[in-house]
Amino acid sequence: MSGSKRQIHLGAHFPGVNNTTVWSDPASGSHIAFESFKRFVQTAERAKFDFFFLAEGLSLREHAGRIHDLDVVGRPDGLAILAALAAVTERIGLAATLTTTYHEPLETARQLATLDHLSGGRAAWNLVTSTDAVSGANFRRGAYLPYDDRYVRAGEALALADRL
Amino acid sequence: MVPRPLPFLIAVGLSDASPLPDAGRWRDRVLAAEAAGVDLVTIDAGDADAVLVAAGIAARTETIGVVPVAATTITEPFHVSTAVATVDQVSGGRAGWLAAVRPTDDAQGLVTWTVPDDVHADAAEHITAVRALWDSWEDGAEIRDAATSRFVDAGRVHHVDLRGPHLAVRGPSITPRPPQGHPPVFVRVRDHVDLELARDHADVLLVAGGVDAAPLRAPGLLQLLELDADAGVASRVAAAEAAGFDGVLVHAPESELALQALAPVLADRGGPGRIGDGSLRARLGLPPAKNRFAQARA
Repeated sequence: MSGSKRQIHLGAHFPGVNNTTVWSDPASGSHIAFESFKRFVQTAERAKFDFFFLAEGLSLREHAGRIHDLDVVGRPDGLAILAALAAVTERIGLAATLTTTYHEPLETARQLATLDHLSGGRAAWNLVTSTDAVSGANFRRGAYLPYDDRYVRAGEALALADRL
Repeated sequence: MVPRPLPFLIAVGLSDASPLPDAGRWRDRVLAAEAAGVDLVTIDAGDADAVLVAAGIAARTETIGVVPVAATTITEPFHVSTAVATVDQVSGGRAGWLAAVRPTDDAQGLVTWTVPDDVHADAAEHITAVRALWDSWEDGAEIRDAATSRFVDAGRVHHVDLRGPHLAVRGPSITPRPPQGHPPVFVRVRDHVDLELARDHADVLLVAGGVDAAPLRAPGLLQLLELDADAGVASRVAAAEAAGFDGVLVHAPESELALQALAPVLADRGGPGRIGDGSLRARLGLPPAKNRFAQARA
């Protein structure tokens, strides 16, 4: 890199479901409405951010079976909101967090390819695995996978996506 | 037939066999249909993901219904419920879902669970789970009550606790209830097994086989007759209306072809326009969707 100016990459993380997201101020607005996402991403794009980053959570926080009610909860489907945002942006990258534990490998590969084509080559995947049985109870295979199996499944999902 | 004062419904079936969806081409096709006054489009994106294509279209259209195909057999109801809810939110209540059923042999090996022999029973549980998840947040559950520091009213967010022979879903959804409550569910009817599924779980039936498809009809449910776009389509639309169908779904490889063939029919209807609250349910003449949990609490 000698002689050239090094640049850092900037990603913008949407402040949605989180215990640090401010919501009690009326000016904070909705963290669910498409308009909020659109404004946030278009602002980041104007500011020349490289990518927009979306986290994932596949269950609501709860304690002893009761939904935790003190923090922001509720979010859109990550891939679907990114596909909508692709239609209202031009250049910014769109990074989806998707757990290989509770998404199907073939469907994930097809969806990321779809998002990549719809956005003109702007999709990215933050690959994670999941440990919580509460999320697992929302899916066909049921409870979560043991540590070793989680990473075997993740490796196979990634290999499949690469091949497709 | 549902008694409805609304005009005869005109839907266009768009498909694209290319695995490389072109956002601009999809958008142009749907915008042309919207401008011509078509009520809704169904979206079949082949190997690409139709719900994601629909999400992009939802962000760039104003009045038209957007109904992507997602197969029950190879998907998780949880993901389908949140994705369709998101398209509904982005479009301001114009989303639907065409719930397709794949044959076992066709689907086996595409997913990491064992596809059952009885794919229609699996589909029935799947659609039931999607609807339950749509209800799992009551309208107004997000209270943002600064005085008590509560963001949601936990009494209005519910576990669904479904447990059937084919799948189990605990819930609640991660996504609040979509604007329409239940985006309309479409099911394609080709035989009596399809008809039974559709009668119990669908809002709209898609029927093929011409106006004589009477044996596969279900009184009391919305039924659209599927037609191919060709020169004679306008007269077959009139025949479908005379035979008591609620509308037609006209398939065309290119929306221009469908729109040309339908021009005489569409010319009588005026522009696209909003109907009722602008939702797809209102356009179809469906009543507001009830929430099982809100009703149980009332």
